[in-house]
Amino acid sequence: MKKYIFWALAALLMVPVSCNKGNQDNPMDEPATKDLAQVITFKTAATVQARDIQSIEFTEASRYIVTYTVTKAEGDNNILFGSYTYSNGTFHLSGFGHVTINGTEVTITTDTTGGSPVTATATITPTTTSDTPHDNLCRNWKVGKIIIGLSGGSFGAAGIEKVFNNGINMDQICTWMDDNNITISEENRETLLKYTVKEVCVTGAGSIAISFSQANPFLGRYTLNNSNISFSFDSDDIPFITSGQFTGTVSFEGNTCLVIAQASMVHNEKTYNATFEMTLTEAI
Amino acid sequence: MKKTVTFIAALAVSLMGLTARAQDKQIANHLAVGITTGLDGIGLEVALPMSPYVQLRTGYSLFPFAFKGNINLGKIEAGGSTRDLTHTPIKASLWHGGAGKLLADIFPGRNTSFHFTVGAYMGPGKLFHASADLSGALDPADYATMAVTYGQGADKISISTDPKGFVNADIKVGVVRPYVGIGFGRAVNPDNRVRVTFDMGVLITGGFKVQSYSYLRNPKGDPSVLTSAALIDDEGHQIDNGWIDKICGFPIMPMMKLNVFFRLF
Repeated sequence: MKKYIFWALAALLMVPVSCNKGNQDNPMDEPATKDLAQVITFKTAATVQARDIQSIEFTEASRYIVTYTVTKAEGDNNILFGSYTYSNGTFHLSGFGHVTINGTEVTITTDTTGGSPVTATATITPTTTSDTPHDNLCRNWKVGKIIIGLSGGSFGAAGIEKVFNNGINMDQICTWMDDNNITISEENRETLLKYTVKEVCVTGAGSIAISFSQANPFLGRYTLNNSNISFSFDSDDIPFITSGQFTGTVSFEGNTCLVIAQASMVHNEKTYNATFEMTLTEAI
Repeated sequence: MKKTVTFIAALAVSLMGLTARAQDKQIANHLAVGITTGLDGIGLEVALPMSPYVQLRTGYSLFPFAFKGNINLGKIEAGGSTRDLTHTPIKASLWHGGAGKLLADIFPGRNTSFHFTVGAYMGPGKLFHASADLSGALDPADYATMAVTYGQGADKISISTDPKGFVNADIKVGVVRPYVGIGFGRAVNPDNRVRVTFDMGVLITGGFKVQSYSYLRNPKGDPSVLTSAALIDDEGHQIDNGWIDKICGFPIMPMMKLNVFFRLF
């Protein structure tokens, strides 16, 4: 018997050790304002400071998104994005004002001196997320490491990949593209530099908002089915990005989220396949 | 490597204990240590009889030699400048990391020299390993942060330098490689202190993988396997006509060894 035990132990020594990384989609801690997440949709646009508000979304992670109904004009912005706190039944929206909900009546008071409260009727829809991937994804994120891959176009069958460890820094990205014969004009470079990403906010109501260093924030929509994500933006202002449609996957580990998304871009009439692998870290 | 050495040591010590109790049954009543040389490199083996018809061998082998030289990889455009890779230092070796083995010699007669051998070789399976030093040609900021790719989707190959500026490539076979073969000579013979034996046969590799690594996502390297599907030209035509897949799909490779055993008792 001992002999067999010995042989079994000896055989075990020869077996390569493998380790299971485990389920990477373990639930993360609940974001701070998960229970307050809701969407206020005005039945008739609420006019505040001469602008018509279509909706206000309070996210799971202390951010608000005010959406205006006005047609986007040059230099204008159709959304307002910021952080909020809640106390005594009132939402306090940084840089905007205060929102109080009483049944279907919503009262908005702006921070502007002399601004009078505006009350309008709205539909209030609490936001609920129903599965772990949504629970994990719906919060604020900062872009840490990003790997950008480009193929097709002037590269033919080949392609290039580059790691940027400091998030979506458009200055570094433009230089890298220039170095690889995807020349960026001064005008386009100036435009692109405004789009250095500050924060990405994903909400249970299906919104995804991206704030930039200098440009107005983007508001897009996403769908998440298990680990498969697709999202879209109005990308008219960004050079080269022909379509704001992205498809990809998400996975979670610890307090980080890995998003791998593909899109296409056109430069000098050549179409490139672009891949973005973004490691996102939760931002409070 | 440490694991294999530990295994051999544990095996040898245990066999000595077993030997005493097995004297009457002629099981493990002798022990021989051998030096081997062959297509698996240079190695050490321990052998003992299990019966007049079966002898067991276990051991470890490796190629202690490496080729060092310079190769011409041409000049490439990267990071906005031309990088001269015409004299790139390269180091290449066979069976990188070595291999452990467990073999059973089966003799058709009590006194025959001819035998069949079955068993397995175990180890990293790096049949060929090459490492090219690009540290002098690249900016250190590009080490493990810049890759070239080829192909699309699941067949995409991504190759970068490691964090020290080296590009690594392997021809890899399975970690466990069953062996079948024939041979001549008994590793343990009670009548002779020194025995010379010979093995020839095939390792069942399950095919070969030609692979390089990208270190962009993992400092230990993510392998990229070269397939015919990845080798396409700018018009989308396959460059190698499927030969890479055909060659890499060949499931066996030859093995040949010459061994000298010294009977300890």
